[in-house]
Amino acid sequence: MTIPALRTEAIAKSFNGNEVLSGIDLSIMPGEVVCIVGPSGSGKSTFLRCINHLSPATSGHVYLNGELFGERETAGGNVMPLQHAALQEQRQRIGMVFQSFNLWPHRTALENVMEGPRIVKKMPTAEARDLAESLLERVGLAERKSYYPGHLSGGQQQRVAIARALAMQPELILFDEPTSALDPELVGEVLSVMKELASGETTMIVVTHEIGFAVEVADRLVLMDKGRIVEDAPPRQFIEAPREERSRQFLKQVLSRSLGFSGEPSGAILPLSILQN
Amino acid sequence: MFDPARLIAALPELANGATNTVMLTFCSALLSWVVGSVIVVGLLSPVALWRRAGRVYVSFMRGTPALVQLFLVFFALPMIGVHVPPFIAASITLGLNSGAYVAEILRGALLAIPAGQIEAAEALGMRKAALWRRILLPQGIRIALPSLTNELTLLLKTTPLASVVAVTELTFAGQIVIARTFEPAEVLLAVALGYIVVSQALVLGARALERHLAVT
Ligand SMILES: Nc1ncnc2c1ncn2[C@@H]1O[C@H](COP(=O)(O)OP(=O)(O)OP(=O)(O)O)[C@@H](O)[C@H]1O
Ligand SMILES: [Mg+2]
Repeated sequence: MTIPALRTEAIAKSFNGNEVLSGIDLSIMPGEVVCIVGPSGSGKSTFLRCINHLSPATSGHVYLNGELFGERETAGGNVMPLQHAALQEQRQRIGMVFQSFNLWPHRTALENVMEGPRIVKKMPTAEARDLAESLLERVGLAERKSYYPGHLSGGQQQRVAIARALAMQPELILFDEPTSALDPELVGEVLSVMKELASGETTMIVVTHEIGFAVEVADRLVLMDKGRIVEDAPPRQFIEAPREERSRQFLKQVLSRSLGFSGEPSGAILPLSILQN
Repeated sequence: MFDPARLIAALPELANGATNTVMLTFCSALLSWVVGSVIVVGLLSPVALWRRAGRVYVSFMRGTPALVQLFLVFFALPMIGVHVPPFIAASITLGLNSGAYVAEILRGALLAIPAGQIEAAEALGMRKAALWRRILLPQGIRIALPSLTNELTLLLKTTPLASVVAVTELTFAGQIVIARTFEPAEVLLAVALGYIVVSQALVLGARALERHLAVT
């Protein structure tokens, strides 16, 4: 049996006593693409941030390829948070793409992508440059490599951010609503880069509101609500025959929003073609 | 009557004063940047004691007149056996004083860096030292530069304070010339011109640096 690329075990998170995540168990196999959907405030971003300890869980554990992540076991069998330097060593193995891109404005597109390999991995500059150039080419931005982020469109910035994450050759990439901050006409270019990644070996967890994209690329579609996983199923099964009433309700809302009607989705719920973009 | 010849005769004396003013500004500015950088680390420290210490320092420097601070350094230190020459005492006082303002400017600039940029570096696995060197300092300095330039010109205009401990900087040099020639108007105009030249040089230098660092 292969080990999951990532496994979370009973991840719970509270902010000032207010529980936002209530025990999330999720496993993702190497090469798998998991899309997480759910209403606003259901804890999707918080969950991703718990995975790479940007905001460590109140309780529960994260395992990356079977290894405890962000924590270590002491001789006495207790589990302790890692020192910052050791955590940073592990974080190199998980990439993250943010809703607001978060590129460094004082560095060009190429420098943004080179920064990780060069500064974090101490790769020789020439090698890092070659790597960064080939990744910018892969996301279709070869000719924009010397632009500063301020001179790139949102879609271009997000593609640079994806290249920046790829440059670390991570075992897994987390995407937190990568297209939510984009103008509608720029969503497609980012989604198509992500589709290309998804069709390859890349292991991905994608929080998204793009249900059509999720259905098309995901191996599993996960619905989160109120800090719990409601449903976790292959996308077709999820939308055609959801197990949970809450999932049906969610699909109905999503559809009425994206199709502009509020009819009762019945039986074999939806023509899939409508969802795909 | 205005006699240009007498003013010209006094120019070397004024130039000497101007040199002292520039030296004083330079030394105290250097000190203020070092002090400001140290204090801002305290102000932003996760350790409450350091934050408290930083705030006490800033409150003291902002809450007391620079003249009193200068007297403390120049007259009070000798009482505990520390003797400092006037120029050094003035540089230290002005540097310590301006350092408090520099610290506040840097604090504002560092807090203005969007948290997402720091998270992106953290998520990539960047260590603390690299984060400061590669992200926080370059970004913080860009944001702080206009305010730091402003603080520098204020510092320049605080240097006449040094005259009370007998440092012959530009203003004091002017007073000496006036006492001898009884031509306050011409001399003071020359002195004012001197300050304008120095502050313009500082501002132009800072603008060039801003342009050099500009990315948008
Ligand atoms: N730093 C924080 N401090 C306090 N509460 C927080 C913090 N971060 C998130 N929360 C709360 O946790 C809950 C879940 O937030 P989260 O951002 O994870 O939701 P989400 O599912 O990503 O929503 P969206 O679709 O709007 O991005 C929200 O109620 C939010 O207010
Ligand atoms: Mg979110």
